[in-house]
Amino acid sequence: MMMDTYKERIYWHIRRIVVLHEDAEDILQETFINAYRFIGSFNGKSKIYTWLYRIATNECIRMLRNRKKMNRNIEELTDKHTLKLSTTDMESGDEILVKFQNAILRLPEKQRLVFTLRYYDDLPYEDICYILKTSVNALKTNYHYAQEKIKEHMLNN
Amino acid sequence: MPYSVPPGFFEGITEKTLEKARQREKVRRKHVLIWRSMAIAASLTVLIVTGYLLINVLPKENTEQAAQNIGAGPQNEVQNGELAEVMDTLPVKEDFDNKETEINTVTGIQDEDGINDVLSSLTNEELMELAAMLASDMFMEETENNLQ
Repeated sequence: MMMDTYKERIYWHIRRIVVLHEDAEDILQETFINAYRFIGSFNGKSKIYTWLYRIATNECIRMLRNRKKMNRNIEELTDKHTLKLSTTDMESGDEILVKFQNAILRLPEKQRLVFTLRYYDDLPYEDICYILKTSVNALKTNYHYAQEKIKEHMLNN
Repeated sequence: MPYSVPPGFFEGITEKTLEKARQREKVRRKHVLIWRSMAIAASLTVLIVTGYLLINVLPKENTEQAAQNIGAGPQNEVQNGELAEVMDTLPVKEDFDNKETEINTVTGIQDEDGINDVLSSLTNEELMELAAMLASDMFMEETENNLQ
């Protein structure tokens, strides 16, 4: 079954973007419900997991934008996520990882998505192109800027 | 990773998702059914109302309109007195017959006078020529017979 094969991979991708487990669970369910519903429109030109990544990423972006509309202040939302990350989800000895995750959360949306897909999921740029509908050059630029900003954050905080 | 998941989350998520999908499909089907029923009800109502209007209301209105136009329309009404006056001015068959007799009488008198005038103005030679023509020309003879 498609869900059994890809659920963990897709879940962690979602979780790194939305941070909260409840949100990640909702989006994971939405992703697979949509995937089953529109499986007929999958033309097989891309790999099945990139198609699922694309659906999941779109759902994440939709949710984040809705949250931004509700919260208005993006900084406030990021701080809320960071606080949640450093209190309930932190495991012992993961302080550097939390700091790293905080740095990722402070990136602009596009850079955050590119960095997550490239760094954690280790996807080739061609697949990220399909998921985010962007050119390879734009992805490379975004990834470079993201790396620089994370480095800066890690050194200064 | 600094994130953690509740224990057994990945084991139960597939069933949870399938259940959610089933429920959503049920709701979707219910909505489709409601919308279809509403569409059918609306179509039937439109058909019934249109049929009722075509059969009952519109012909009655037309008949009433026609009756109004013929009967008591103040703009088209001709009063009985006016009608009688108009009818009096119209010629009848007897008028035409009298007129014809009058015309015939007048033209007959005029013809006869005219011929006498013409004959009196002619010279003897011309009269002789006319007599010769009368004797030789068959059409003249016919005309003479007709005149008699």
